[in-house]
Amino acid sequence: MARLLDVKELETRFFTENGVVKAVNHVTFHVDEGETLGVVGESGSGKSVTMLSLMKLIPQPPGKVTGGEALFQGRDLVQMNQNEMREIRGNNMAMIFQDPMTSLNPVLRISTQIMEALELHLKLNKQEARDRAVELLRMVGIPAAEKRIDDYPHQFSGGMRQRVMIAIGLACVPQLLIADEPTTALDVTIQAQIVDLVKDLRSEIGMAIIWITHDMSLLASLADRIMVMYAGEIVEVAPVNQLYENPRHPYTIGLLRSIPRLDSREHERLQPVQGFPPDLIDYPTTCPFMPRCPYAISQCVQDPDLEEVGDRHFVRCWVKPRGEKVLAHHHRVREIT
Amino acid sequence: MLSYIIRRTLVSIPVILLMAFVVFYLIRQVPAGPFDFVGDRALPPAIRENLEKRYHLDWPLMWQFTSYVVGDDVALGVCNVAGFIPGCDIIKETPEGVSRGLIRGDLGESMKQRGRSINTIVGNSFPVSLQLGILSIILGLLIGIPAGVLAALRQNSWVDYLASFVAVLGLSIPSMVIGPVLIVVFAVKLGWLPAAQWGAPPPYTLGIIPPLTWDFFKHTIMPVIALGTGLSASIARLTRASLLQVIREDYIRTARAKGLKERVVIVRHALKNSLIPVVTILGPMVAGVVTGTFVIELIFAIPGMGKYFIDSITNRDYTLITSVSVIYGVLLVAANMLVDITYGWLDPRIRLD
Repeated sequence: MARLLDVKELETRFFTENGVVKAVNHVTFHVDEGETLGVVGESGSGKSVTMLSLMKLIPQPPGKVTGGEALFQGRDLVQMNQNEMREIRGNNMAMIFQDPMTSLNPVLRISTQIMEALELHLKLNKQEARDRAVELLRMVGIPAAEKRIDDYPHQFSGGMRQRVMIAIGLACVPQLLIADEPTTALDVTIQAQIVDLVKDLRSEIGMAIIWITHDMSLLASLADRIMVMYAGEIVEVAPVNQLYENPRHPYTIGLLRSIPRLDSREHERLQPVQGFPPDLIDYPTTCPFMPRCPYAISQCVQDPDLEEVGDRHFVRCWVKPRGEKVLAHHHRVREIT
Repeated sequence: MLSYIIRRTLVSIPVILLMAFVVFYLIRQVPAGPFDFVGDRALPPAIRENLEKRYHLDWPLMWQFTSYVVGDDVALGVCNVAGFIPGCDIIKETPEGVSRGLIRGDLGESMKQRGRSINTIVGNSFPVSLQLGILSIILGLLIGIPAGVLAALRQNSWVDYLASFVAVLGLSIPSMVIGPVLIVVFAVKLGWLPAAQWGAPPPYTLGIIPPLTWDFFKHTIMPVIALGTGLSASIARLTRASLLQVIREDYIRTARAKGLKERVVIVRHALKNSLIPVVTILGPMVAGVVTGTFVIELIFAIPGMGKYFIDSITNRDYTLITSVSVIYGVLLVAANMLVDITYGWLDPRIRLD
């Protein structure tokens, strides 16, 4: 499949009064056309900032993309100015956000908020844009779409608002949809509905998706590949089955262990990843995970590079603990997929 | 909407009456009355007594207020029917009426400008203050909102610092300084504009609309600038602060993610949300400015209401003080109602029922 997005050595910094925050560090990954890439990592691991950097949506100042390139359909997003980027944003590349309660403008009608992207990018006139907007709302499963289109966001429930957000994201039929924790703010049943909806729309439109989350179990049925981020770095990338069956980075292993499971024994405790992520201002020169890593060896004082360990499977670790050994007590993790 | 306006109006009537009573009562408690002196000469007691009788100042306070609100013919009528009510003995001796009552639109008779009704005084001076006030508010908005928006968009740049500096200057330099400076420069030195007076005397079209002639405008330019710049300073600072808060909202990021131009993001998505605090201060600001600003009217010799407000207090012109306060109160209530209606238009989450 053809490459849609090819990011190399992306680096984003925030220049604050307290120092330079190294938010995204030599991030290299790609997304193929029609592929779904899951991105996981704890809060502050650089998942969102990486994607906002690609969209040129990080607040600047204090933020700045300080290095690397990001080829989207062959054009480097990093080198583009805001005007060129505006042509792509919302058109070829769309983004939906975490909190549907605050991500829609409370004082504008839903119709305005969907139609403006259509009028801008597809050059539709008012009536065409309106017809298309009703169609989009129907597509994302909003009942009585032609009546609800003139409502305001506060007249919708959280799940319905996220559907509206998706409709806005898909308005111009993008080649890439970046979903930044779109289900985190929703309750579980609504989460499942939204995930199903996105799956259906993905096959209908044939777009690629980058789905940011910190819920690993959610990605099992959704993603083709999963990318794990820690302290602004990619620590492991692998096809979804490979990652669940044979995780090679201690952090990934830790994340998988901390997923609650239905079939766990009674009184069995979840195993959280101990400790805290490093300070991104005072960034360590060692492997950033070393202080929390149960496998750390003396070599870990040097930050390792991303290394290929299998088919499309990359790990940033000197030790690369083997799945069998690690998962001996946790064989059930295998069954997750 | 209509029922909301009617309900708000009905609710505000007792508020206005209570305020009128407080002013009515308090001003009568202040030492010295309207007829104690003429100039610096004390009036002979006999004349004073006659005058007080003429203006019903010998009536019991509650009866005075009743007659102010509903008219003295009503008070007399009540006493003719039910003479046993305390105070009626005095009232029945007073044949002549001075007030037809607030409820019939009569603001009473001035005690110091004898023979002039307050309706006439206010009718001539209020439209002038209103014209000055409205033009100043318009100028304040025209300068204040764009300046605030510009400062917010270029936060911490020289544009922002310049706008903030000018705003602080505008807030801290009182109009009694700006006014004379304008007069010295544009009237005295350059001779471009008249130094004082109002360009068009009453009566006006529909009671307030002045003739749109150059003569009118050349008299308004300087007072409107002197008054409007101060207003624009507070509007600009509020707009800036409010907009800075709004552009950090998630939905602004959503708007940018759609690829909208920055101008569209600000005008369509941010500005409307950020105007609510601005509209909030606009209510009392309008009421305060259109009822006359004493300093500006004094400096530019404008025959507005501000002058009467101040004069009436030093003169102890009881009726004028009370009536001007009532007008101010009605305007304040009306302006705040307008503000609430505007909220509903700015933010659909605010419902007016």
